[in-house]
Amino acid sequence: MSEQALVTLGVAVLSLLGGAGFWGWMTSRKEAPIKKRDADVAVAHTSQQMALAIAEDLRLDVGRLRGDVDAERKARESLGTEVQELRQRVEAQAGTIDRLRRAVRAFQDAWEYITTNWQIVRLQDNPPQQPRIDLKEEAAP
Amino acid sequence: MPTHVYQPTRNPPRWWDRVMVHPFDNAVGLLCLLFGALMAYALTTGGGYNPSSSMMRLPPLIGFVVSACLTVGGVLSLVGLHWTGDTVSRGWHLERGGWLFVTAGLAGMGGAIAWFFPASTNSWLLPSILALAAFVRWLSLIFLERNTRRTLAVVQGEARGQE
Repeated sequence: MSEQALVTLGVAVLSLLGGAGFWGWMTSRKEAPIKKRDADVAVAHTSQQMALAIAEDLRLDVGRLRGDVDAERKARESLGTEVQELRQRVEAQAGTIDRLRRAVRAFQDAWEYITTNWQIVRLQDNPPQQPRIDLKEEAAP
Repeated sequence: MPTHVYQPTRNPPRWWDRVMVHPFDNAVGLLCLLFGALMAYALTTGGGYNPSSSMMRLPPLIGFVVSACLTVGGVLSLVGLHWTGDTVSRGWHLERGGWLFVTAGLAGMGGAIAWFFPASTNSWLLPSILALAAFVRWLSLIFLERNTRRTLAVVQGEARGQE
């Protein structure tokens, strides 16, 4: 780069900066000065806007959480009713199992009676009385 | 969330607080002040003192102009940065003018070093990039003022609406 070109470049840069400074000075001449109080007001306003934005985000978050909690409660309630039905069924089945056990025991006792007293029973005309077992079977659906 | 904000807080109460908040701005301002003053001294005395080989090789007039830009820029930017007056916009304007002079001075210095010692890249990169930084600071101060005026207009509009 020749010296002439460098000087031209330097002059161009200086005029650019001078122009920028002049533009800045012209635009700021007509505007009112900003006092410390005004600057503090502007800071407070911006901080307030930020706080409001945070509060709004939190509000939306809380709404979403509430929706989730409602869904959870509904699921829990439906599970509760299911559990109640299952418990009733289990109790009914326990009762049935008890009766079945009694029935099997009665059958075992009867058979044992027959085997121990076979010498007497085989000479009888009528068979021994069948034990009465009530299973309380519900009507078939 | 307003993320693009320029907060005009001038709350650091002591000058060393301001130095803590703006260490590099203070450093560049001080450097320019010292560079310019030492150069001006060297040019006026003409003797053996040579603070910058490349700057001393410049034609004396250009050397004076660059030194003057550096000194004035350094002074103005430091004064504006440490402005404690009630009119904060005055501080911003002084600082802005300072940074513009600093840009001119540092660009001149970077140009001189690049011209006379083009091989020593680090030596001319430093003032050139600092000149760019000073220009960016000039821009950011404009944005700061513009943003503040806009916020104040909004606030005054709201106040007027409520009355």
